[in-house]
Amino acid sequence: MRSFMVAVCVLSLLSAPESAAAQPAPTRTWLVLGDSYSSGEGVQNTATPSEHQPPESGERVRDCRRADGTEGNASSWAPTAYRMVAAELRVSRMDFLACTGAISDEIPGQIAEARKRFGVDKWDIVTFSVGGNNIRFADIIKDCIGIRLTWRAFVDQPVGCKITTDQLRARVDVLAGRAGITQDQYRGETTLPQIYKKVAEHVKPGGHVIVLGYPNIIEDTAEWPLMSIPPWLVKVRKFSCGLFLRNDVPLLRAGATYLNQRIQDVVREADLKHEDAGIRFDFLDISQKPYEDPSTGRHSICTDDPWLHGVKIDGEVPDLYFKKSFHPNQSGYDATGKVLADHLRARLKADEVVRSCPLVGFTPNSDDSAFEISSAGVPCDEVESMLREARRTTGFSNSFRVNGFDCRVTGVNTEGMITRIFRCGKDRSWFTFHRE
Amino acid sequence: MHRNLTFALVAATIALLTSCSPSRDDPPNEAKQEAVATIAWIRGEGRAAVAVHDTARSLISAEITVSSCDAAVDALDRTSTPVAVVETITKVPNADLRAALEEEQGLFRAVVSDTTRGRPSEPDAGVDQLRIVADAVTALIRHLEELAR
Repeated sequence: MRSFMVAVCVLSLLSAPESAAAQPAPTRTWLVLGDSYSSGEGVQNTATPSEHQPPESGERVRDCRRADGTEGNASSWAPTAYRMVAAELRVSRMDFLACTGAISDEIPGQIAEARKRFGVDKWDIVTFSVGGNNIRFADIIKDCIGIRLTWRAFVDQPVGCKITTDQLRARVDVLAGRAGITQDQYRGETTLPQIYKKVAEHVKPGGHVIVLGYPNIIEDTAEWPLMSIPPWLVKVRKFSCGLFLRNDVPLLRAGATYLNQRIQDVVREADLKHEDAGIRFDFLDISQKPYEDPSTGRHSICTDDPWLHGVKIDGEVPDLYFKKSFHPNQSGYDATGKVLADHLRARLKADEVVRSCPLVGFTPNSDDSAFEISSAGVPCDEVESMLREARRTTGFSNSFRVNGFDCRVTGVNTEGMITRIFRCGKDRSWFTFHRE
Repeated sequence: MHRNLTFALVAATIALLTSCSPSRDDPPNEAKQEAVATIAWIRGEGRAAVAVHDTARSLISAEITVSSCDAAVDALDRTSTPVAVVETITKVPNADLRAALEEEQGLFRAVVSDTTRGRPSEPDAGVDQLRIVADAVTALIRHLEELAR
């Protein structure tokens, strides 16, 4: 019944005098969330800490290391990709909230900060990487290589990784929501499925969420450059590289692979879950392209041309800054930005711009101001025609077919407020409308 | 690795005796420039990294015991930190020396750690390997010094 009322409401307003086609082409907005791999940790010239103070940080000014590409700041992958596709895909703005050290629990805070700072509630594109800090991956690496400030501390501990493969996989399973949280093994109180759901609430119908994975930190030992023994320069295998021991590399690489696989699984589930609302989730595996790709070469630590820092220190004792270690350098961020740009072109070009049809189905002055219609690949006049036909034939039910469109209706209950989402498609074109 | 190294060294020695090594009289410009830069690095920024090499050489020249390892660690702690050394090594202009110093540092750490903790060495990380790599570092530095002249 409520659906029918919606239809009546919509159709009573179909006599809009202006043609939607006359409207200027709408543009997309882009929100950048995530952790240090998204913020740009590892490059020089990031925004000064005082410019970015997440709401949850209280009085403490937190240095998010945001390489947002503005005002002389360096560019992490998102601003690099933005520059490459902004004109082509009509992306009008990028809101950059990623922050070094962030765990999944901080994503809602980043969204809140974005809403407050930019006065926007929903975006067309959301990109981020998150989860590595939940499973304490940086600590795992540090334990493997034994970063210490004195030689005494350095050699007084067992060499090599302290964590086992099973323990590492167990942490990843928690992150993916496959196992309960154990506080000593996991940072935070949220898992990826919960966070992806939260993100989806701030994506426009027809929008895209792109989740980036993590690169392999260190090169496969089979690919390590050989060591030359002089004076005749015999080539021999190495026992260690940087501070990494050969025997630890399989664990670290398998851990990164498992982490990426599990993130991909959760992304796939989120895509299925939110597809009806017109929101697509994609996973971008950067461990292969660009970091270990035949066309661009191999670029982990211990390659001839690393795009990741090994141990890297800024500052002087006692204010040493280690966080750049094991993060991409500018070449790594640039290459990742290019991969992301290619991905966005492939995904968004096919859909074309999601267009709001403001004069179809409702007017801003109506009582149904929460009613939204957007169209991907369907001209607004066709949307209008389809809705007229719908009224004459069926009204709206859970699923209906009219004017060549197959429509499905789903309901989402958010804190007692029912949102009905209508998604109608014909060939590969579709449009979405929903109301609360 | 020890067996591999020994075999490789024997094979290379034979190869050296039966073939001509490249003339060092007139090194290519690029190689000379790199050698000059590397020697400058050793005498400047890289001094701490080379201090690890000197310490490793002293350690393996005598019997390796808990007390000699303790002394080596104490000496190093007076001159450098491990993280600074590792970061410094990444900046060595010559790739062969960079790889050898990395390896030497890793083996030094493994040998000292195993000795002071009373553990047997890993098959690939014993004092014999450390000696071979320390010799390699010494030879490489000499080679680069010659090249830089």
